[in-house]
Amino acid sequence: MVSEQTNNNNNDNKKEAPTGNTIDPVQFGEEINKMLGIWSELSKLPTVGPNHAYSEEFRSDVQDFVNLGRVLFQLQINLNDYWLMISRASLRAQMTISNKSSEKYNSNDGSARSFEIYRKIMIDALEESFTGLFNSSEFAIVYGKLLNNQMDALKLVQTLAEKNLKVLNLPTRSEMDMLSRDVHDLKKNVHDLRNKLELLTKNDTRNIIA
Amino acid sequence: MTLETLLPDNTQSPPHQKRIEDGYTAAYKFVLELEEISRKLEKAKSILHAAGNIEVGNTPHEILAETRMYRLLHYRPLVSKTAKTPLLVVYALINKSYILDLQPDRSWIRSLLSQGFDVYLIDWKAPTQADKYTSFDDYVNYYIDDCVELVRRRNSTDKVSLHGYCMGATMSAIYSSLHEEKVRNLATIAPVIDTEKDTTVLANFSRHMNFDKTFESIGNLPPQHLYASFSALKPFKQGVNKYYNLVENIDNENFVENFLRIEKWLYDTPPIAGETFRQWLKDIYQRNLLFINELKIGGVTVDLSKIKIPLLNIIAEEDHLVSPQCSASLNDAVSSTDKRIMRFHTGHVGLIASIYSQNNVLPKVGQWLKSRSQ
Repeated sequence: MVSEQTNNNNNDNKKEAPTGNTIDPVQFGEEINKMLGIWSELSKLPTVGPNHAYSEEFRSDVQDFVNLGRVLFQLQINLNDYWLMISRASLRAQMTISNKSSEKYNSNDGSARSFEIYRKIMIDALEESFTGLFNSSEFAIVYGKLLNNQMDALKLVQTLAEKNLKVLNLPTRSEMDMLSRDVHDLKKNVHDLRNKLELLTKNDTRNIIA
Repeated sequence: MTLETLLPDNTQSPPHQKRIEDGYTAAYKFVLELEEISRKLEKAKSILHAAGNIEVGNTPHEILAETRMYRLLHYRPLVSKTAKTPLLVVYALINKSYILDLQPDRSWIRSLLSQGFDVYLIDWKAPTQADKYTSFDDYVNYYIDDCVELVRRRNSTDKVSLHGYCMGATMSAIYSSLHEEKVRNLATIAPVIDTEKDTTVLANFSRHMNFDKTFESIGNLPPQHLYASFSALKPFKQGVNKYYNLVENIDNENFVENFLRIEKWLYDTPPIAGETFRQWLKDIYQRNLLFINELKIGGVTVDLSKIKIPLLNIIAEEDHLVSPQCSASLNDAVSSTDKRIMRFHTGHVGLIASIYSQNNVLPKVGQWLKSRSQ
């Protein structure tokens, strides 16, 4: 009840003072996205004349950096959600520890003060709180988003690195990947052919004997 | 100053100083306890520094075949062979196979040998980034099949018994459905089958991830990602608490050695080949394609109902890596008339590498297999 009232009060305060010093994260996010969008559109503006060819590489780099900025911003938002959930679970566990250990302390149990009992209470409370969190779909969604953001960021960095490797005339990651796939397929083909050859040799030997 | 100087001098203490004396005694005890904790911590520190040297997988064996992706081990018999059909153990792609031969008194392999089985084991090697396109097709239709062929040839037999653990059990089930003519019996330990019924933290995490993206960005799944997921499984009871128990039992040699062996295994994690990992989590965990008979391996649909050979499904009731109900569904999916589930009150690792498994699980498993291996 207390927390509900507090929340209501906070909401009322928000309504009364919308132009306060606090930053609305949603609004802030929208602003950042808008700004990145402007830069992204600017980089796509058509160019004319001989500069077009030279500016092409630069424009695609700008686009990649803009995308990286977007992903990192999303990553930060999801990271905040992640740590918020972890902090809440930790807080819940601490409340349980404090309630249960004080109950034991007041129960006139002679051994209640021992560290062993406190340790057990602590482990049980932390386990319950965090296992509950890790089992929830809310946490799994945020964790999934966080990993996706990391993968997106990595992919963009790889794209930027690949462009630089091309300048050096070095094989890129994608090209190495293509080779890996070819080698993998070739290995299977050789394996199949070897098996077929073995079978044919066996059959031939049988025919000769017959 | 020695600790004894903290003790009250009983010969000269007047009676009214009793409370002060009690205080001195309590302080003395406290200091002694601190001293003991420091000693244990110091010992734990030195033991943990040398932890990597602990020996595992000591049961004598020869390497029958070795490629870049696996080794096929053949164990030397400990008693005269009483089971006619050779037993091929298919280990999982997560961590190393020596968990099945951790130490002599907790060795799954050694127990099977002492029951008269001719035991072979597929020991998977760590894939490199060049192997990122290695898929389930490679593991099942090439590597396992090659090993089955080798065992059949060596034993001059047309069939082998397949015995898989965890992911290896799933691969054994897939292999049996595709190549049943080469398999006499299928004995699975904690297989991942019906993932819709899996209530573990790992299953929960996997439902909300984009594995195509992961594959494209990092290729093989690095061990760090696996550690992050595993650390979310019973993080305090099995994570933090185990180190406390280590310090508490630091003078118990058996406890320490067992702890170190398990710890070595837990953090001896090779990466998982990218394509295999993508199929494993996307097709099997997210879409449950294996259970609904829609999983495609090498262009062929895996139909578990094609399995008609005798099936033994061994399940841990307290498994927090693979839910018991997720494994148990294998018995509903197959068409075998001779099928059995054995349930044991232990966990995923306790099922294969504990004194409990030696006394309660292995005798029953051996009995079931032996009666069908003549």
